[in-house]
Parts: sequence; structure tokens; C-alpha cells
Amino acid sequence: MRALNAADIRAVAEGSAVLASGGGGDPRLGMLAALQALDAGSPPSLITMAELANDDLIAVPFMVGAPVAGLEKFPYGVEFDAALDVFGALIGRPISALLSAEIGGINSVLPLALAAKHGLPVVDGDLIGRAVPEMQLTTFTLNGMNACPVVLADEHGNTVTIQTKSNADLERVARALSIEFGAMCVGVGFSHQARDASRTVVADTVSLALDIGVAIQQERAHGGSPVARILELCGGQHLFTGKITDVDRTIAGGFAVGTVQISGVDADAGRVLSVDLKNEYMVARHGDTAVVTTPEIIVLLDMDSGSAITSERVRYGYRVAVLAIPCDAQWRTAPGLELMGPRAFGFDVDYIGIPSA
Amino acid sequence: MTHRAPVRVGVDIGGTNTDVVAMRGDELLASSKEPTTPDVTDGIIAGITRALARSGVDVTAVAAVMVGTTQFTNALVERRRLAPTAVVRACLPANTAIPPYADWPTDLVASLGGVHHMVHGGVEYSGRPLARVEPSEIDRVAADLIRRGITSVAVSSTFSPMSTATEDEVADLLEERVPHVDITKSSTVGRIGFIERENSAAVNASLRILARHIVGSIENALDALGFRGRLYISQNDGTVMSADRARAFPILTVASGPANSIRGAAYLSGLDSAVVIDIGGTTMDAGFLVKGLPRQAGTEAEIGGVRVNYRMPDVLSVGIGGGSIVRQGASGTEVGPGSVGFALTEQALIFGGRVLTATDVAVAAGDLVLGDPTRVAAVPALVVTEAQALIRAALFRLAARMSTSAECVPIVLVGGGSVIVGSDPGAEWEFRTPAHANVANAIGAAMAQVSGEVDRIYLLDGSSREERLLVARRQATRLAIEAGASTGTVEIAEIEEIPTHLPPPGSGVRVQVKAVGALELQDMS
Repeated sequence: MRALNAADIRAVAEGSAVLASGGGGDPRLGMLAALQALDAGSPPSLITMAELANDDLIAVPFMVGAPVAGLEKFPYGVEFDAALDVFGALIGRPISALLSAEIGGINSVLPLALAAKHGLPVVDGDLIGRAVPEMQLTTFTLNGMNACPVVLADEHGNTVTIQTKSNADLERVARALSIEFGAMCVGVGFSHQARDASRTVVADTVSLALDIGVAIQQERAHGGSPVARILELCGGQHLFTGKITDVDRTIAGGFAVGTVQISGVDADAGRVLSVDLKNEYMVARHGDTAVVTTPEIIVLLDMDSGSAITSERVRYGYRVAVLAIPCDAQWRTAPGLELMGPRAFGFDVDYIGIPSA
Repeated sequence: MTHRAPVRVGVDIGGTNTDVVAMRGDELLASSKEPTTPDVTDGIIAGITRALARSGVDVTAVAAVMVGTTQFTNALVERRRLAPTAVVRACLPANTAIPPYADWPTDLVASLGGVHHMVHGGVEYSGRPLARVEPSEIDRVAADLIRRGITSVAVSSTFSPMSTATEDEVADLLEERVPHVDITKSSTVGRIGFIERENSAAVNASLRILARHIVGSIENALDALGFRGRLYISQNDGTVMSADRARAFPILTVASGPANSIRGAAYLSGLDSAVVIDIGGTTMDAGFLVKGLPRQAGTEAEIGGVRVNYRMPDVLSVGIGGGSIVRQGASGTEVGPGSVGFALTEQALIFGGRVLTATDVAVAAGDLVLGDPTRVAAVPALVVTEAQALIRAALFRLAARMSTSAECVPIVLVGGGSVIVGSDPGAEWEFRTPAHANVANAIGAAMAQVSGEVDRIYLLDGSSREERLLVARRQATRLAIEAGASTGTVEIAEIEEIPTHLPPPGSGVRVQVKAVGALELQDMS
């Protein structure tokens, strides 16, 4: 068990943006809420799965809705109190620990805010090992586990309990309800006992995000590049260094879809790397040849600040290092690739893993 | 010549110097450079008097004075002369998790007093009310403000860039109840992004009393000179606003300095697309000129340590300027970020000082004739070469970051420190170093146009795209004319539609339209 202070929370937010593969949104608001809760409550503590008893109950708090609405309404206050109350009554037993839905974006920092407020520990791990655009893309689905019951809540204390047959149906129903809740609401679900956790939890990702964040902050302080330290922590490859020369982006079917063109500098001078995005960075190509694809994590790191650039902020002119970081091994299985491979997102390429050096 | 263009005077109040130019139409009549005085109006009077004397124009013949000032930025950075301010956030029961002033520097919160109230109100993205405004809650807020003697108030509410109903209602109720209250509604200073928009409103509110004082004292000084024309204040999009608007929106002056230097560079170079690099004593600031105006930053900006999201010019800075200290570090020669700043004429080697600066390097390289060159004769040639290479590398890196396409645009160099780049920068860039570049900011202020801006989100509720754009264009044009533009000159300078992620997916669109026109001025002579 490890208590997290304000600096740790800032580091988790910084580092989780690296593991997000460009998605998940800006974790800043979640970070502010966590810092606020820390001021008012107790420091959130991070625990490993081994520290939980077999029948301890874990639950996942998350947000669902349109990212832009989340910039206007940040429902991490009374909304979660209502959702946790109803969820607790439904399950009939207390929750022992909270778990992040995804490590990347706001959902990775959210449990820390709630943990500080409700005095619950946070498991060092998550359900994906990166960020994803939809709720059914978790290890729950991969392992045939149902995420329901799920309780959604809004700021008025309205709650809806969802019990769907499949996690894909949950995504569809929850998405529709979130619109009625003002395009942004909170949820609690994905509950399971610690004994089942080995099948579902991608372990140690919160502390990994924290370590990445610390490395970035330290390198930034003296103007260094965090690339080598990130690769040391995560494995993977430094694919390319260059300057973003074009970002072609539109909204299609509710996703931000487009391509980022990066013109090489230094050792990559004269070459061009393109990165296709669909909320997350999905496929990196040299010319027409794909070099790495989802579910592997593609990172665009701003060479000036050392921060990862999320897909909604990517624009012309950034000097970037492009990294490919290994995803959790579960996603490289046939069922994993069916959910998270490039074809699942409409790209006409087969999965390509991280190239060897 | 039967018709003579009116005379405009541009003033740039910098940290070190107050620059003044007198212009008739496109013609620079005269300029002056006076030290900035603690009470800045003395420097303004001295500068205008000298510039007019040199130009042979009587003050009564001046149609307009345009003033660019860093005083509001300085007040924020130095946490001085800020008013006790209250934030009234009207969107309960939502948005309780992060209170106002979250993540502000604590000393800045302390200088504003940190007072805030959360009350019911607000709308959803669809325009549906989130909660009704409760007049009894506003009564309690008003009583608290009166008791504390606070008159500078920021009002914020959810989705106010799409519907201002709650902010309007709360502002009206407070104005009825609190004498002399100055209210800044968040919808008037920021965009989608609640926290940053509320921050922008709070920062603006905290500057309102200072704005009344500064604008008033400039008006008094100009009156005392016998000036009969109109006063305008530079804002950060490269245009000017009326004195009254500057009293209400002082935050719009923050970063007007870089905007003026970009506009001045446009005028001096005759270009309307270029990278503009303004080199002062301590920093190198790069901006981008697009269609004659500074390009706006795409994301949030920070002022005084606070994240805000009102429009700002897209400016990148590095800590290298004419006063930058050149020293030997662990890995060779280093330039900046330390600088002797305005003490250059005492501390630089060529002026008899003991510090090797970037300006000394330019003299040692033979690129500049200044001070006593014998005093830099002993500086090793390798240090000179390495320092100049570092300066140019920093400049090219900035230029590459700022240019908007893979093709090269010219670099326009302005500012007193631009001599440090040297006479032959080489590389693939085309350089322009126009005459009068040392008063580019004052020229930018004098030559500024006026603008009208619309930035809001429309829901796609049956109205056609053409209707939407027509409404936005008309509104922007009307605002430009209200700001003082001459009717026939107004043009739409920017028009941008950005799809949003609001449900059903992609059904909202943010429309930004800016109309710009020439100031309608009369020849006073």
C-alpha cells in the first residue's frame, strides 16, 4: 500500500497520457478534482492485487459521454456519491477497492479523486492497459465477463441501473442515456471479486504511469528528452523523429478520424511517417507500408515539453518523437485482435506488432 | 494633394522604453524613444511631444492615438494593483468537484481574495436548463459582496458560449443589488472549456479597477496636451479597441505587444504572410503573420500562472536576446536564458562592463558597430562562432515551429536585439530586416484596424449552413462597425467552422468569424 501525494497525482496524469495512444481526453480536469479531494480528504492509497482478500469486491468508476461536454460539466462530485450509493445497495456488500477502467485520459485519474473522497484504496492496474474509445473494449469482454450491473448517475442524483446481456449492448445503451444526462454522466460497474482479478486486471499500470510522469517531469526540468527513459520503463521502440507537417481531421460516425503527416529530421531526414487516428492513434506507416498498428500503443511525444500529445490537440508544427509501446499481451491473441486490431476500427491492414530494433 | 490622410500616433509602452511614432496614412513622419517612467503617463507625454515636434504636426491635428501597454500583464505577473474579486459560479448542482481558483498560484489567489459563491443555474449542451436561478441565493451573494466591499465580479455558467441566459440573469440580479458592481460574464471572454473560461473572467474582473485608472490617466494626459481626437488601446489580435471597451475588457490587452510587433512587421516589410521574430533584450518571440494579422493560438494559454482560453496570438519564445549572457558551460558555449536586460549599456563588455553578452558577440563578429570594439578583441573566435551558431539555431527552430506549411515563408526580424543574428544568417530562409524595425510595435499600434468577432457554437437544428454563416458574418460586421470601422472597408478576415463531438455525433458546430475594417478617422487639420 502506497499513499499518493499531490506530486504523485500530477505525475500519474502526465504519464497516463503516454499510455493512452493519443486517446482518453485530457486528464487535467480529473487531476484537478483529485488534487481538490486530496486537500479535503485523505491521500488516496495504491494497493496491489496481492494485498486484497480473495472475496474483496472491486468496482470501476468511469465517465461516459462526449469529451467536449466533459469540458463544461465535470461530474466527479455528487454524481459519484449517488452512483456509489445505489450500486452498493444493489450489490448488497461494501466495495473494497476502486479500479481504473483505462489507463489513459481522464478515466485513469478519476478513481484517485474518488479514493481520496471516499477513503477507498485504488488498485494498481486497469482493465485495458491503454485508452479505448468504447466501453466493451476491455478485458471483461475478452474473458466473457459481463460488466453489469452498471449504475449511471447525473448531478441531480438521478440514477439508472443497466443490466444488459452483452458489453456491446451496454456501450450502446449507456451512450444513449448519457445524451439524456446532458452528454456527460458517470457510471460505476465492472465489479468483480479479487480472485477473478488475475483474468481481468492489467497490473501495475498506475505505478507505471506515475514512473513515466516522474521521468518526463525530471527531464523537462533540465531540458532533456524522456524518450530513452520511457522506453526503459515500458519497452518498445523509438520509431521516428520529425516535425508534424499536416493534420487532416474530420468527424465521422462520432469519431475524430484523420491522418497526421510527420516529416523526418536528424536520422529520419528525408523520410515521412504518417499516423492514422480514430480518436486514438491507430496505424503508423512509412509511405504505404504499415509499420505498427493498434492494439500496440503509438505515442506522439512533444520534443519541447516531453509531454504526450493527445489526438484532439495534435496540430501542425510540433516536433515529435514517435514511440511504439507494447500493449498488454491479452490484446495480441486472436479474440483480442478481433476487438482491438486495425480491422476492428475499419483499417484495411492486418495487425503489425512492434518492429524489432 | 486635395485630401490628406489623418494623422495617427502610435505609442508602445514597454518595460524599458516608451516608443512613439507619428504617421500620416502610410507615411512615418517621425518617431521617438523615451525611457518608460514609473507613472507611465509622463513617458507618454514626453514621447508624443517629441515625436510631434519632429514631425511638425500640431497635437490638435492628431485624429487618433493608439496605445499598446504591458501594464495589465505586469500587474498580473507582479500580483500588484489587482482588485478584490469574487467568482459567482451559477450551475449547481453540477460542477462542485473543482471549485473556482483551483490550481491558481496561491499568491495570486491571495491578492484577489479568493472569494467565490456557487449558486443554481446553467444549461445543458442542448440549451435545456440545468437548474433555475434562485433570486434568494443571489440576495445572499449580494449581501456578502456588499459586506466585503467587493465590486469586481466574474459570473460563470455551464455552456454559456452556447446560451448566455444564466449569466445574463445572474448579472442583472447582481447589478440591481450591488452598487457600482463591475461584472465580467465568462461568455464574453472565453470559449468552451469551463474552468479556463471562468479563469479568464476572474482575471479580467480583477483588472477592471486598474483599467479604469490607467485608461483614465492616459485620457487626462492627452487632454492636457490639447489632443482632441480619439483614444484607442491595442488588443492582442493586432487590432485596437475603444477606451471604453478597454475599461471593460482589460484582459484583451494581454499579449498585445507581440501582436503589435507582428502588425508592425507586416507594415514595414509589405508582406502579409511571414514568420515574425521580435528580438528584445531577454527573449526572442516568434509569431506568424497570416493575411496581415497575427495567427491565433489553437489551445489554452497561461497568464500569470493561470490557464485561460480567451483568444491569444500564437507566440513562441526562447530566452535569447541582445542582453543574453554568453558563458562557458559543461558542454561548450551557452547563450541565455540569463540576461543583463535593460542594464546592457552598463554591463556589456563594449560599454565598459564585465559581462559577455550576445550583443558583444555581434560586435566581435564584425556584424555590428557599437560601443568600444577593442573591449571584445580578446574574445576567442571559437566562442563567437559557437554563440552565433546557437543564436541562429534557436531562431531557425522557432521559425520552423511557427510556419504553417512545409514551404518556406520569409522571416521578418524586428526589435532592438535583432542585430545579434548577424549579417549573413545563411540557411534556406529568406530574411527581411526592415528599416525602423526598432519601433515596429509603435508602428503596429498606429496602423491597427478595428475588428468584430463572433465565436459561438450552433446546434444543427434545421437551420442551413448558409443561414448560420450569414448570421455570424452580419453580426461580426456589425460589431466591427460598432467598434469604429468605416462601413465600406469591413471585410471578413477569418471564417472557421469546427465540428464538435456533441450528440448526436457531430451535430454541433463552432463558428468563428472575424470582421476587420479601417478606422473611420477624420483629418483634424
